[in-house]
Amino acid sequence: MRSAENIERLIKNVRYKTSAEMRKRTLNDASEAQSKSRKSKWAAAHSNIWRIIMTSKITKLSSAALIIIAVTAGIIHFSSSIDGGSIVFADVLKSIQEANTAVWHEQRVITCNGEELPFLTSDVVRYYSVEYGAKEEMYALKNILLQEVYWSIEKGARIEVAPLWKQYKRTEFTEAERTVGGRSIEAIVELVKSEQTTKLGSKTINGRKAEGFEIEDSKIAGALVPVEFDSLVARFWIDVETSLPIQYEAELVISDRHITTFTGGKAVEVKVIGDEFQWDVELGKDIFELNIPPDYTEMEY
Amino acid sequence: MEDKLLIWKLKKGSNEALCRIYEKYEEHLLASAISLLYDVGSAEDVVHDVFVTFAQSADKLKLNGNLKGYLTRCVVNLARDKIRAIQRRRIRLNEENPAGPDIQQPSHAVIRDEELDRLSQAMGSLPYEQRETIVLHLRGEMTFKAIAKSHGVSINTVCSRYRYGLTKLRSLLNGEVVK
Repeated sequence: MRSAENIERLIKNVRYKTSAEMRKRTLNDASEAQSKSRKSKWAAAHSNIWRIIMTSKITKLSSAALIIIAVTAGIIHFSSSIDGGSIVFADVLKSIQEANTAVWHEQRVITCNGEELPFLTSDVVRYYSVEYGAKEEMYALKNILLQEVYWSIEKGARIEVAPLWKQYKRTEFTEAERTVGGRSIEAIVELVKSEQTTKLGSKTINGRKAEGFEIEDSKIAGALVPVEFDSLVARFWIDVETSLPIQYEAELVISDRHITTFTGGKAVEVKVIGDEFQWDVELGKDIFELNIPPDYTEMEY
Repeated sequence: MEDKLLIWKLKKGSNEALCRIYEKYEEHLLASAISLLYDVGSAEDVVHDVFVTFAQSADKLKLNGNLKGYLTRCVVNLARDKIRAIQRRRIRLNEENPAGPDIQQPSHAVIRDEELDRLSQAMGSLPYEQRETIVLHLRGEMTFKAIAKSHGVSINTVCSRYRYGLTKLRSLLNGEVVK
């Protein structure tokens, strides 16, 4: 005899498997619809972007774009390790390591002379795993996957993949990267002891009480990023309850020659905001596995 | 969390996210459609059409609740259209050929799962409003208030439909005689 609750549970939980043929057809049709919709929107919204890119000497543009990306990526790669070696800093590192994994969102806006470079403004999904390393997926122009970067602990290397240009670049970890990625709290504490930090006090972010720290012209950032920058200010907000990063903001001014070639000799400003942190989530190994298609070539810079 | 990330990626055009969403909810949605239509073929068509439309308009997607509830509501809406189309077709056929096939009851493709088959048969015997209310509340995770608002009826009407529907289901599934 079934009770009303029992019937409710049955209705709630019943599942039914789609036939293999229908499953294949649905996935194919949905994928095709998605692709068509994306292509038509791309064509309508960005008809002049390709002309800009093609007339900007594609190789230099791609190199410059990728270096700018690498700068911001490098900065944020070490973003979880700022507080000048204080006890709070050690707590933060410990909490991060205990969390094992994280996913968060990052926005990067790049300007030159106050004018935004729209094709380099991007949204990024960042993944972090104590076990496998880190990865980011960078989307520009709202929906174009511009670049993926893998920081692979297994390979001891940073690998950048640019699908738009069908290029990739593998770089052995620098000492700083190896230290940050090497999961040794003591080593990272040593590394950041020399950093000058300023406490920013507390504020509420999305209902969570957070304490902020600011650094300027970091030496670690200098060791982690592949180009020289003129100035750097970064602010990190740590959740008081969990000791985990909840938000960060960074501003850099860069006049590295690779960039100034691209902007006609003018320095660029990079603004970065990281938020929507989700700690200790399930992230499979496949997210961090690198598969470079055979027709991709190595980047030249 | 995963759904939030999947939607974010889907809006950026990720096919991987689309496939993951399909894999995650296809069984749930198909069972919901079968509960409403009691016909595997029609139910598969509904789920197919929901996903194709979902993929086409992903960048405009604005979720107020959860993804599972949203997709279930899409299935319910499309199933309702399908039922209406069948009813219109029935009227037309009856007018043209009074002795023709009776499609008032949905055609039953074989439902292999015995429990789902019994449930679908029982659901199929409910008035459509009751069936839909049950599916929206239990599988679409909609509150009675939200269902009342979306259907333009009072919350008492929705609660009654749910209660009567569930009572009848209970009788049918327990093998009792239903008047």
